[in-house]
Amino acid sequence: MTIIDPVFDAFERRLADQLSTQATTVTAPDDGLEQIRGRVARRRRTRRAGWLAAAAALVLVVGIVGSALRSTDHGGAPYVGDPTSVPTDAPPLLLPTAPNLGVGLATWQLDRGYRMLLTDTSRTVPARTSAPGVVEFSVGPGAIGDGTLPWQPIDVAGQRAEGFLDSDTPRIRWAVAPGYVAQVAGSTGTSGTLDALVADMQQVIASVQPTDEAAMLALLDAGAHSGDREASNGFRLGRPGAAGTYLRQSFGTQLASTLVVPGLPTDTYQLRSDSTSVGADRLPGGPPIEVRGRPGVLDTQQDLGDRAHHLIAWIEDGWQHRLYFTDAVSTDDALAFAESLVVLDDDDWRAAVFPRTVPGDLPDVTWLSFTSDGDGSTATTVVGSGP
Amino acid sequence: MGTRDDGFEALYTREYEPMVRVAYLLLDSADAAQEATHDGFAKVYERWDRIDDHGAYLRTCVVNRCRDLQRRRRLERGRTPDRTATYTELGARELLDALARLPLKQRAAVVLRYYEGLSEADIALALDMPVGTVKSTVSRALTQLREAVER
Repeated sequence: MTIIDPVFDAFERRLADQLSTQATTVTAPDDGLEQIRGRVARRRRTRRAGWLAAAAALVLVVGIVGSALRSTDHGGAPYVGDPTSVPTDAPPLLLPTAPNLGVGLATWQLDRGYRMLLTDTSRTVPARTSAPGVVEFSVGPGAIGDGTLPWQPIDVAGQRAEGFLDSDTPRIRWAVAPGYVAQVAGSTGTSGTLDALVADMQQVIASVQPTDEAAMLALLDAGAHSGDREASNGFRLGRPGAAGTYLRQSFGTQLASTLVVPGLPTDTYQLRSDSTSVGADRLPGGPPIEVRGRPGVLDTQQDLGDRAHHLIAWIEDGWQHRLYFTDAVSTDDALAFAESLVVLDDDDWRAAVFPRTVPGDLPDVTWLSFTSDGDGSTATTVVGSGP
Repeated sequence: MGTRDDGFEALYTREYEPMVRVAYLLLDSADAAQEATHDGFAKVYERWDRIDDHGAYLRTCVVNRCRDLQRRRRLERGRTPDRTATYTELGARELLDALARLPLKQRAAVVLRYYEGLSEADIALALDMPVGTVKSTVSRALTQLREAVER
């Protein structure tokens, strides 16, 4: 197979021809499908083992903590250590939501296919900033020194930081709040030399500053809808008041949310919403069923990742919504749950995305502008400090 | 389940050999190419219902896995390019050696453009980069390849 594009010049045709010839020197094995199936099975076993180990570790930790508390109750030795960490009767301090960070006076360009991972503990914002080659900015739980890569201590703008720089995708991370680290990752493929990229990354880090929820929401909105701010029903369909209702991932016009119901396993319900022409016009196969007063379908044979799920799907306001549910609930339960979903207003949505906030010591940040090129392919936003 | 398995087998029939060859062009090792391809297919299978374009997602997974394997190989063996290819046509060695010296993103962009014949938009999707960056990446790679061959 030699790809010869009419616009190729002689050198490009030679390159295509040599790649094609080189590729034919390798032969795909006949038992590839069996090997892949074996790999899938091994990965499942590994994950199950990981869950079991995590569960065992949790039980162990709970046992140790319980034992320590009982020891304190029965008159253990008086505490003589750091007075700021003296045990008290106060309720446990919840770790705050990951701090919201933006890049001051920098341009974030969010392209089609933009993805954002947003949970109640971490945020990842793949984006290009004004520094070419910086492709991802994220913040989440962690501490300097706890990473698994061979990080090396470095100094960035006087902050305690560490870098993994001997790589095509160099990374720098630094502490931004107690219990949280931020990370900037780059790619030399978009920026020329590694040294130049690292210098750009350090500039980005120096300009990072806290930002407010409105700016984060605007970024989220811009990325999720690529300029089509009207088509937001799927984005906002949720269950107000449900603990831990949050957007997990967005793939342009496709969105996935985990809707956590107190008392049920967290993966019981997953809502996926699709506004593409294919998704909005065609329901999956299955027996017809009424969902939220609309025609829908029921499929009891869905497999989602490692677990079997059932599915009810329906179309509402130009979005196809698919509610996946496990055996933890019945179909009637799921239908009732779907019925309870509402289109969130701004306040409800904000409360769902930001269930807790960082302490109010953030500077006042002004949302400066939002522009789009009109066809939805690119949204450009600018976040900066107010006057 | 039947739908996923049927679809997956169709994807395998259509894409398995091309993906092994793409991975081989990125890694110069048949074993590593199979490893990357099998890993990519396994990820596609596990996420089947969450993926719109299985072929595009597969390509992204395979390229990403190639990058991981190349990085690991560099750490294990230093920065010496690992070449086990036996292709010896006059002039081919210089070109393929020059290709092997490119950063993986440039190399991947070249392979996807000139072996797979993908459009810049599809390459952008596979490599998770803007279309404009694909253009500059391919252009920069071609310049380096030309210089290496003409040297």
